[in-house]
Formats: sequence, C-alpha cells, structure tokens
Amino acid sequence: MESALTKEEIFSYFSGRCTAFQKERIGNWVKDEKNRELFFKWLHEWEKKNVQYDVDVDAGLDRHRLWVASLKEQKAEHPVSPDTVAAGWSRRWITACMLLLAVLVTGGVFREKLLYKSYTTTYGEIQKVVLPDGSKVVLNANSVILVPRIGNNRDVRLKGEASFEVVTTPDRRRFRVLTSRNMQIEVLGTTFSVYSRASGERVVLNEGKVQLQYQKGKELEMQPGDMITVDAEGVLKVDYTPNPDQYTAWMFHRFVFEDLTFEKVGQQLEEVFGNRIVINDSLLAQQVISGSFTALDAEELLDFLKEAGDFTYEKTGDQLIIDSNGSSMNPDGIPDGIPDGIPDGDNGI
Amino acid sequence: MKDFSGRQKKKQEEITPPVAGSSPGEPSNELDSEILIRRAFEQNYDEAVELLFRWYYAPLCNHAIRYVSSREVAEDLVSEVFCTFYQERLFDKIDKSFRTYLFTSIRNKAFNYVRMEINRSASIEHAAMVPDPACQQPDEIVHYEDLYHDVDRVINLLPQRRRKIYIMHRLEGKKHEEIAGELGISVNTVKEHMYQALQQIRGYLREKWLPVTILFVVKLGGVWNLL
Repeated sequence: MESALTKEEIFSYFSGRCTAFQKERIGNWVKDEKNRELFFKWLHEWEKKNVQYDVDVDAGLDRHRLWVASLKEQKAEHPVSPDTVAAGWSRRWITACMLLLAVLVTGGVFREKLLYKSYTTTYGEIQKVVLPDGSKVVLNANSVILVPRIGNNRDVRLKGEASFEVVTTPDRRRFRVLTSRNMQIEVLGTTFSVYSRASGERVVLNEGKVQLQYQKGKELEMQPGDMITVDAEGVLKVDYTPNPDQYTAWMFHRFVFEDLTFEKVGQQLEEVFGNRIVINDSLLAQQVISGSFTALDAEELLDFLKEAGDFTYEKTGDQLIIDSNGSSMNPDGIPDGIPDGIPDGDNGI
Repeated sequence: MKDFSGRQKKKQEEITPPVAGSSPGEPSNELDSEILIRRAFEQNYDEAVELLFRWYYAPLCNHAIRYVSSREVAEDLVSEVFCTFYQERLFDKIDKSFRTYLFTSIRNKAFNYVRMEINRSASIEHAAMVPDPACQQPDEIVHYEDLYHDVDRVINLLPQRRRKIYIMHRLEGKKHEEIAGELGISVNTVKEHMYQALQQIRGYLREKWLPVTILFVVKLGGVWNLL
C-alpha cells in the first residue's frame, strides 16, 4: 500500500517536474481505483488551470449538435431498430410482406439487395459498422457483410475479412456468421475475427466462446486464442495463438507477418489494396518476412520492405512489378533500364 | 446556451454539501458536477450530453493537444469521444465517473494518434477509424504523461525559428502561405522547416515509443542478409 500523495505532488508530476522515482510511486498509487478517480479529478483541475489555447466550446458544441441531428436523420430513414421492435411490429410486417412480394416478382441480384442490407468496402478502405443489434464490426478492405432485413438480423454473411464484437441481446439470440464456404460461426456475445477469401478461411477467437460448424454436421468449440484455418483445398487446421490481436492488426492499417514468404505477402497486398503484385524472381518470392508495418497502400509497404530487402519495384497501372536488385551493378539503387521480367542474375557472387 | 450555465450554478447551490472530506482541502463542486450531470441524464438525454460537453470539452481538448500538438486534431478526437458516448448511451454503462471515462478515452485516442503519426504521416481520417483496443495501450497510466512530456521536450528542442513555424502551423492552424507572409520568408522555406521539424520530432519519439518497429527492422534485415 502506497502512502497518500498530495495534490501538489501530482500537479508537479503533470507538469513534468518530478523524478523517475516519484513517477514510479505515482504509478503504483494510481493502480488503486479510488486513487485513479482522484488522479483524473486532479488532472481535470490542472488542465483548467494550465490553458494551452483558448478552446471554442460553442463551436465544438455546434458541431456536436449537427452530428446529433444527422444521426437522428439516419435513424429516421431506418426506423426498424431493436429499440422500436415492440412499437414497430405492424410496420415491420408490412415491410416484410412488401419485400416478400417484391422478391417473388423479381429475383437475382436485386433479390439479395432486398433481403439484405449490405456494407461494402473497396480496396484500401477500412470501415467501422454498428449492426442493427448493436454489435460492432470493423470491415477490412475489399469485403462485404450482408445483414438480413427480415428474420434474424443476427445471421450475417461475410465475404472478405472482419473483426466482430458481438453484444448479447436481452433475449439471448444467437449471432451467426456464415462464410461463402459454408463455415458457420455461432456465438452469443464475444470478440473474434473472421477471414474468408479465395486463398482460404480463418477464424481467431479473442474472447469468450464460439461454436464453429465447418462442414455439415461437424462442430468445434473454440476457446480464446484458438485459431482455425481452412486452406483453399478445404483442409482444416486448429492452432493456438498467444497473440490473437495480431490477426486484427489490420484495423490499424498494420500488417503483421510471421515467417511469411514474400509471395504470400504479395497475395495479402492484392487482397487488401487491389494491385496485382508480380514478383519476377522466384528466389525472392520465397524469401521469408517477419515484422509489423503500418501502411495505407501497397507501395508504402513495399517501401518499408525495400529498406531492408534487396529489390526494386515499378508501378505500371494497377501492377506492381518487383525485381531483385543487382546491387553491385547499381550502387545508387536506381534501375537504369526498364526491368522486363528477366532475372538479372544472382545476388552477390 | 446561457440558460445552461445559469442552471448549473443554481443546482450546485441546491446540492451542497455532499459527503465532506473525501480528501482534505479540495473544493467539493467537482463532485457536484458529476452528480448534477448524472441527474440531468434522468431527464433529457440530449441536454445532459450537452451539459457534459460544456463541462469537459475544453479541458479535454487542452489535454489532447499536449499529445497531438494540433488544435484541429485535438478537437476532432475529443468530439469523437463525445460521439461515442452519445451514440452508445454510455451514461449508465460506465461504472466510474464521467470524468475518468472521458479522460481515459481521450488519452487512449491521443496516444494511438501519436503512435500512428510517428510511424507515418497519418491524417485524422485514419485515426478516426481506429477503435481503442486494449492491446495497443500502454500498461501503465504514467506512460501517458511520459509521452506528452516527451512531445513537449522535443518541440522545445527544435531550433527557435523552426519551433515558431511548427507552432504556427500545428497549434494555430495557419497555412504555409500565411506563415511565409507573416515571417517574410518563402513558402518553400516554411515547408522545409515543417518537414525538418516533423522528421526531428518523429525521430526523437520513435526511439522510445515504437520499439516494436525498430525490432522488426533489425530482424528483417537479418533475414535478408542471409541471402
């Protein structure tokens, strides 16, 4: 138990006038929840006394009001929300009947549009979505999530990659994620991420418990840290990851590679940013990369890798063509000819 | 808007005195404001959030700017905190005081923003998309102060003229052209100073606040050198 700290001590700490030892003491003191309340109370007081600039509260409040107004408008456009279920029953039925009729009359893509509300991201885009039931989804680039307009709005479909934070509903309705390859993930309320693209599928559980149905009748129960991957051939693998958060690093535009070949890295970049990545050197393509990077487009990431690796790349249209670098021939690192796909010999002698 | 401040004062007088002496020598009106706002939530939701906004917006901006050194970014981040609070109706979900919740949120957001900025020149849109995950946060509360103290230190380390330009651009939100006009220098010189300032600041902060990145470069280099 740490002895009490005075306001003066904390104030000089906020101002940066305290020793490393005092800091340690404050760090321990503030671990106590009651002290933490006091800490923030004093921080509030200190901030009011040490003005950095004149904040225009009215302008801020105006902006906040505008935002609230636009939020209400949005809600008015989609009146069927969980809060209004009881009141909106009749309207809901009418909508359902009309939709059903429309579905019977039409069909195809339009049918999908009528039956599902879809959220889509383009290449390079990450979107935060709050589903009608209050669950939160962060959608990675080049992904689609479909939410049924009628029936259980907790039966969503996913193509691409997303991270879910599912809330428990008062009536404890199950939440299901269906992927294009008939993987079915069933939860009540928890945090997990799902990846479902051409190259395979993956589910990583961060918290809670998840039921996974990966083929008709085959079920698995996942525990936190469990990672289940299904490759393009349909082979299922169960792994444990001490670090489930690394599979949602993309939410921060981060890429985490753990002993991944350059080829696979290129594949990920294609999925997320939509460029075609061509690696002209098969040796280079098999090089293994580990590390984490923040990047908003493919070129930015390649620039990072370029610093450490021995290659250059060139952009033509949507394509990024990567060539290994004959560094001894090119001390500037500037290619003087146009690489035409012919590997220019070995690296080094 | 005036009626708000009027009402605040009136109600404060009504509520005194609360539990006395939770900590000696501190004014009790702080405690009152929390009770007052909590009561307001029982009546009108929108007004209550606005009351909360009036009470905490300025100190939160004041705090955030210590990290992000930009008025615009600070205000955007604080607005976002209030939006989340409003949209998710957090007033009855949080088990601590509003103040603790709001300050903790803004510190997380500002922290993430700085991390992202020293890693690259990110714009506010990208910080806006970032939820506040536990995994990205420092494990000790004192690290937050460490970060803004470091930010302050490195800004102070800038050569005076560069510092002035940096502050005019970031804090005061002046455009390159305006600064050039005021100081009687060319726009390119201003841009160059800004570039150098950012490089210097990022370089200084990176070393301490992005150890992960540095580690991977070494590791990556190692792998590649095996070629």
